[in-house]
Amino acid sequence: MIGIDTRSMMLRRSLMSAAVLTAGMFAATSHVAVAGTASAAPTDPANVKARTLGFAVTYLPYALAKNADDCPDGLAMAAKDIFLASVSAAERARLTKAENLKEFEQLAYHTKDGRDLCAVPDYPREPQRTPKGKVSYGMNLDGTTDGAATANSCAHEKFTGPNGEPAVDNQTYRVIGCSSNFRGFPGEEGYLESLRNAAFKDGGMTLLIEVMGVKDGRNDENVTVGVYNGASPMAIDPNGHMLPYASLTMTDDKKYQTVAKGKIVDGVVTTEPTDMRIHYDIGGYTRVWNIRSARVRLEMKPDGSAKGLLAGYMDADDLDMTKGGVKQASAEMVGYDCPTYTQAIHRYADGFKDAKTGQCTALSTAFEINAIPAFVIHPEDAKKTASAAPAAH
Amino acid sequence: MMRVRSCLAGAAGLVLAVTLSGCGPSEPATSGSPPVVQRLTEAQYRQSIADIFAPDIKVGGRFEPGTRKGGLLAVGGSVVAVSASGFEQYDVMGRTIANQVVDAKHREALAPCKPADPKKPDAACARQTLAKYGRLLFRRPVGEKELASPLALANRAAEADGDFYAGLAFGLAQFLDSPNFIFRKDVAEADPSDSSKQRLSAYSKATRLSFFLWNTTPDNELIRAAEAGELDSRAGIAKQVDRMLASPRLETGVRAFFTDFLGFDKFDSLAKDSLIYPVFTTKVSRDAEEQTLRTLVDQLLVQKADYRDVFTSRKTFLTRNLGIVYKVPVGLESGWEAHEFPADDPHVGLLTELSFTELHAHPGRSSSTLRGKAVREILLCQKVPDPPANVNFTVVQDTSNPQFKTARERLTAHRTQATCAGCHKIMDPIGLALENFDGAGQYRSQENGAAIDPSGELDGAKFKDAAELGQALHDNPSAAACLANSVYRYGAGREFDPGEKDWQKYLLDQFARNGYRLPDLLKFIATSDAFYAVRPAGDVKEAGL
Repeated sequence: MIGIDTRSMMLRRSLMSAAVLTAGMFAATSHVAVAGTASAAPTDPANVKARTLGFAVTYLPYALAKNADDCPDGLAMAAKDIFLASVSAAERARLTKAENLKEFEQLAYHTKDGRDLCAVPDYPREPQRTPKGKVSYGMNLDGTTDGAATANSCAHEKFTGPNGEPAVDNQTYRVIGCSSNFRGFPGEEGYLESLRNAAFKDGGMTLLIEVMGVKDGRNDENVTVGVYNGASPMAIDPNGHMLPYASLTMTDDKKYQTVAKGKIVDGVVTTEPTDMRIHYDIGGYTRVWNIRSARVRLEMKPDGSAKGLLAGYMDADDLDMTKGGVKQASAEMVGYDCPTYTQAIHRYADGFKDAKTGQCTALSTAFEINAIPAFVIHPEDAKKTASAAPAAH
Repeated sequence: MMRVRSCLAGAAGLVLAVTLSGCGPSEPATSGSPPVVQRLTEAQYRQSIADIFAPDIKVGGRFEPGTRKGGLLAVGGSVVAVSASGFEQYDVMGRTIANQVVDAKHREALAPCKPADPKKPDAACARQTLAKYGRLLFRRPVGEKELASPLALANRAAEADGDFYAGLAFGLAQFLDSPNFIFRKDVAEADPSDSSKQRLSAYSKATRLSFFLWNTTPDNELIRAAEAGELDSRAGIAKQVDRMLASPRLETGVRAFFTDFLGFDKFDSLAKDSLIYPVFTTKVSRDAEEQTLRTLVDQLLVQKADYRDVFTSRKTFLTRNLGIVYKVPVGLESGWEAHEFPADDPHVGLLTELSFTELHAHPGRSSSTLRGKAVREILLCQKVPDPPANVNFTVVQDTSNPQFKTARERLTAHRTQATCAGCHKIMDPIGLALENFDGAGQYRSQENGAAIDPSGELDGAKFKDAAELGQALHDNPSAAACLANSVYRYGAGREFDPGEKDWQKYLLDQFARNGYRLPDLLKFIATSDAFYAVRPAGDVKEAGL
């Protein structure tokens, strides 16, 4: 069971007396003083009322650098690609005819002794094609400069960030960086990424971020950052875009409420590591991410929006989509080979060693956060009784 | 007839303290006006059906649009007729309503009797049912002559169909098709106290009162009071008025008035460019209308506040849909939450509510002129002439012209046309104060990168922003006068008669003396002689079915 810091209720109550209403907005049009503008920076922070800045995430893809030189051998192969590469041209031509589809699927998606490939994660396979580029988004999660093993992490190769940041950890990028489902094609998002991010619009995922106790939106040594799943769906405009300034209720399920200490430097919020849990639904199927030692880096913009990274260690089991009884025929639809993929996950795991086996059980990961301004409503405020005004007839 | 109010006097001959409403000038006599015939509005038709039969009776069909006269649909209702296609719709609605009334789900509760054999005509039960509903639909008892035709039809149809209830539906539908239901007709009768004069019949008084205060047909108690002659006395009217003012149904009447007064029928066709204003949706539009009505009901009926405060109050009610547009948090997941804008917030009063800013704007831009015109015509009851036919609007409409970045700059250029200046002078200085609110009502401090200047003046009162405009409107005597005059015209269904000038001044004086409170205004009008006065103008005959 992963510990989640859920001190949000106590912290929020202690801040409520100083906060402006239940949430304020960091927006150029706000009449609350906005740090960074001429009317900002109070001269005496002790006299400034702390406020809360709220955001709703609209897009949370894996932060993939998509370097041009990442996949010199091509994209990662699905089971059928692997199988077809192993047979003669004539056999390829025969098996790919429509009338031989059943035979083809039996051969491509099963072991020689007839077991579904997804049920045999250690089936002999060539290693997954992984990015060869040296650049990746992410953060230094293990604290080392060279990726050497530590008491709780496994040796691995580090990346350099796009802006030259040293010692970036992002082993998940190694696993998925050459998979078309995540990387996509030029001008086209990866299928699984688009499916997951569509959940923001169709109500399957609402993710809220609160920056509490802000006295100076540009530089503040002591803020508290909450990351919560939302109980309300996003507000969508007639053109299908998510609307800013919506009031969105956070979940009352404490498992999906995360609170961490943080600070703001030059308008960028960063948090201390803490464990986080997020859930989302795609087509009625719920997935949960356990992100250990998660941290947020968020640049708050004058128009009230925010952009940044969520980095941490994703549990290997959460990344492994073969869990939960998936068959290779289904995995094929999203273009991956179960044994290859599962083996890659475990090969590149770099965090949270299992005490007994010494194997790392989690992978350093980074997500790109894109967020719009929002009012984060706490569950007890959402349940207030209706106003005293007479109801409409 | 002069109406004398009593004052208290001390033993020493001094005049002791009197209540504001208990002493003062007496109600001036009026000559009244000719009787009025008004077509029921859609809301009145629907409410009448719900109140006479049941709330779940569905009213299908299309209603013909109303006409505004003097700014009110209620007054325009006295000049509209029903076209042939309009009558077809009434007929469809009538038959649909009648069929539901007699169906298995409703007949038990709605029919006052049961036929001896449901497969055969039952004249007695048909008569009892039709008489009951004829009285409620015509808002008075129906005579034998009026009952004969629908009764005969009901019996014939029951015989032909072998179904009592099917026949009854035909009879009911005939009542619903009648002008006596579709129209409210004032009936004048000889005044027994003065044969040279006429008075409104008791049933006409009941009808006028009911549609004024509740926007619906008279209930059983009001018709009973009319039948018993109680409405021919001041005390009898006062008793019914007090009953109706204390009823929760008063809210429906007040909402109906403000819906008419503020022109909210325009919401039915309100549209915005979704690319320019993605925040605007039908839900937002409906919530905007309800926000204002709910706020007015709370301020004027529940809080019994001074009417003029609607222009300066920061208190309102919001839904989450509205919170997105106003950019404020709304805690309540669904429904309405009381909200008070803080002292430094630009949202103050009715003029900054979405129902005003988005209703009086174009689909893709704001409009100082439309908003200024709305303030003049709706809230101050001042007529602004229509623009000449040959006006060139190009400068005003081009929001991308780098030479004229703000609406103020564009209108200044437009006003250089001599034919335009005169009217714009009385509208634009008001509307420009609201330019901080775009065409969808969202706050902005700039337009095309240029700061917006919301200063202006209203009839000599200068202001620097929308909040001060609200105060200027609060302080403008025409605002309160407009409301009082409009309430009277709405209730009477007509313009003021030339013989009512003194009474009109008296009305405004009483409104002020009563602290500009709406319930007191309603009571004053509803219990006044003037409200029921008819000018002797000849007989008004009952229309047959």
